Amino acid sequence: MSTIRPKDVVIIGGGIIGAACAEALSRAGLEVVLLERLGLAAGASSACQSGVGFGISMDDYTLRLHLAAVRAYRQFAADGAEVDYLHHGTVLVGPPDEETELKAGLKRLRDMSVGCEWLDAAALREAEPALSPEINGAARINEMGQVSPMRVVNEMARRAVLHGAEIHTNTELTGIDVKGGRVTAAVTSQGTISTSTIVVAAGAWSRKIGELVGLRVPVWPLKGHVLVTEPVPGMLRHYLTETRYEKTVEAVQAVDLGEDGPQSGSPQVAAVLQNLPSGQMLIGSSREFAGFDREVNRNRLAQIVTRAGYLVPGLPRLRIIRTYAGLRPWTPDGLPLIGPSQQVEGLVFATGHGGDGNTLALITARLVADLTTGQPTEIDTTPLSPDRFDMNGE
Amino acid sequence: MTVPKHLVVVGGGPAGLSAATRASQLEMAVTVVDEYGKMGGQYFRGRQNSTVAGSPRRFLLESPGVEIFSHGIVVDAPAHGVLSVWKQGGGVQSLTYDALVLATGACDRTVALPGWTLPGVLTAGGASTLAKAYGVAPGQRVLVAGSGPFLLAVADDLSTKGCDVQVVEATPLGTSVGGLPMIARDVAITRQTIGYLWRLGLRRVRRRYASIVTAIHGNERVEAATIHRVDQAWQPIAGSETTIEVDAVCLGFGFVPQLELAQALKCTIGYWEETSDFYVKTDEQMRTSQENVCAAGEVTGVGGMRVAAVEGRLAGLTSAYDMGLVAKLDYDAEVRQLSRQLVRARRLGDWVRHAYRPRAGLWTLADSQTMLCRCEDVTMQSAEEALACNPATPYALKTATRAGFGLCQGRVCSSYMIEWLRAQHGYRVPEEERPWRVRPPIRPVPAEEWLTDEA
Repeated sequence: MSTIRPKDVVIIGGGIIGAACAEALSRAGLEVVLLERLGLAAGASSACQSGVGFGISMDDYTLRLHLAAVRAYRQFAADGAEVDYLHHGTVLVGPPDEETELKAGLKRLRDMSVGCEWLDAAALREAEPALSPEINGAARINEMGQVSPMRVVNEMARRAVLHGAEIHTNTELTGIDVKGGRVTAAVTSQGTISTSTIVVAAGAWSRKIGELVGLRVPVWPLKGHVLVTEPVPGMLRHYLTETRYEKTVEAVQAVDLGEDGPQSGSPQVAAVLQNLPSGQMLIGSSREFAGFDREVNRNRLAQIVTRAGYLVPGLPRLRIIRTYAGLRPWTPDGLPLIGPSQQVEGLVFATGHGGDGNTLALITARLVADLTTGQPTEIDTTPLSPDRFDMNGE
Repeated sequence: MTVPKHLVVVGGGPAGLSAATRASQLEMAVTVVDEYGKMGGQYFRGRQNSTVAGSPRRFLLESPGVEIFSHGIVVDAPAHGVLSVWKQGGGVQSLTYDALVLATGACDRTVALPGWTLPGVLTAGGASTLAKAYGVAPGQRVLVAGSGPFLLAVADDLSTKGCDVQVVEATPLGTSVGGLPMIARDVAITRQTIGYLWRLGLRRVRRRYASIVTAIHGNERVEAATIHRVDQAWQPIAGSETTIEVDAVCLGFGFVPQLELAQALKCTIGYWEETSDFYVKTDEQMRTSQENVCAAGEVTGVGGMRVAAVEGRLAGLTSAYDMGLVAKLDYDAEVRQLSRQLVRARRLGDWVRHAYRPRAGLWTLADSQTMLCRCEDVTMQSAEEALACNPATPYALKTATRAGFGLCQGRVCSSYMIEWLRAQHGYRVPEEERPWRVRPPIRPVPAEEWLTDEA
């Protein structure tokens, strides 16, 4: 690889964010090379669930970002991308005492022209027959859907190659050359590539990339567990989740941030159920800080199954064929880092998406492409700027 | 009185039963877990009257105190010294052990060739089980194709059931003839082999050598199969094909060890490149890389029933010795004696594995529409396409295509996938592991039976 020509952009990471960035940047006419330490989708992109959506408790900015992201997927699928996209909406279940709050949330969504409705007991039975008869009402939100993140990664990589990008798997970034405060080259296990721009899309491992230039990237791994069942085609008609899910997202944002990152522990569990086109059911979810450990914890799996059983009583009887744990890239304020950093010129971030990497992949890639080529962005990226964190501190 | 040390043996075939017998004689409390209702494993299915070493009858006579856990499937190894065993309809039990013997055996090597997923195509081992244990024949006109002496056993079973059988063996006749001096040293095997050949001769079972089935045809199910003669590398020779009408095909290209539990326990796995075999690495006394875990029989490398029985005995002995139940002098003496037996037994087993090993041509039979993974309907074409921007590794292929994502979790297709990547795409198998992750549960199990919420 030491003989390759200088590149406009070197992307670090072959997950869903890196692959989408490779596609967008190469389509914009830049010469792109993507470096991946292992294989495509080897990290969180193959150890996650399949949802594409948003939360009703999100603030206006985050919700607008997610809506743009969700609509980007719909367009992507409409243009013929084969990524197992399902646009069947979500059924969101909450405890009875949250009904008023949930209905208020729906009104806000409608005001932002998101199709949604309240389903009473009868309508709910019809919409989602597998649901527990003890649930007497739930919200249906139309814009949410599912994709196969592994398919998205491979489709994006394929398209990027068509646009002239190079993809180097089994290639690790070992150094970044900086001269006069500017990126000049990416040093890899396979050789050095001259470049003025490096996009950090290394997910939960982004901190290690920052260390190569002395930056402390505020991204830490947030572990999550998933179970996969035997095929049960059509058991669920929607992507099913509960209001508790957003509370688990908020809860991990409230942890103490010490010198070495968030304190270990504080496990959170909420049911997130997705029936895949293969018929298999993905059952999640959990959130906890456990470093880079990816071993599955049976107790956590059991807690997830218990929650899932409250929503769908038939679910615990299904056979589990596989379980796994993945590492989300968590940031202290719950927003991703998207865009260039003033701290090292030429270093662009596309990381820290927490549990929203699937949803935000396409919009992230568009924003990165626009910011890199100096085009106006479709959404204000100030709240996403990496410069909101001081990465130089001792 | 102290509580006896508990040995759990997983697998009730010749290796497992021999280990259980020896350990129980040495004052261990022993539990044998097996998936089936009857002990004896694949080898003794339909041979319930045999009394040779490793047979269930001999086992019952010699080891009355051993606890039998039949219909038990090990689904997880959740902590050191604990196995989760699922009994269908009976929940999951935690089985604790002081020592463990892995005797999980082997299953048929699956090969993707055009038509292999048609109804009517079985593995040779599967067909043999159907015939012997259930008295069911896979069809009327049956092609038994593959490589190795097991084909003769299957052809014998099926022709006994009245099937019109043809055998297609990929290695040349000379290979089998070359093994005769080796076979002649063993009276029982000689008798068995003569029996097969005699009966197959009487029933006019046609045998072709240096030939391979290159395609299986049919709409709803098997209707015909195409056979080519092959060269030494098992490459089909152009113009040599014949198509025969059959309604079932039994494919038997040897066996692969069942390594899921060994992998879950993080035992070191070895790989013999030449014979395309993964196996659990052990020392000469059958200890794996994990403390107090021994392995015996086909999981340590396919070698046949005799090897399994001696290895099992050795594993049972070593387990007891490691628990402090055998004096060193006695142990060393018995190890020497068993090791001598093993050398003799392995001679034939090693020769068979080597002589009938898969050759390069086997990994080239699939065409673009052949299924690589039948659970997820992944074709060879989509696998090739995925490799355009992915490294040629089993994981990358899996992630890109969903091959191995289905109900079997790659138990059927992963061995083929690894060999195909090696042969066609220069993939190199990593050292000391099988490049196909095993994640709990080891086998499908209902969530509510496997997982108990203690929170």
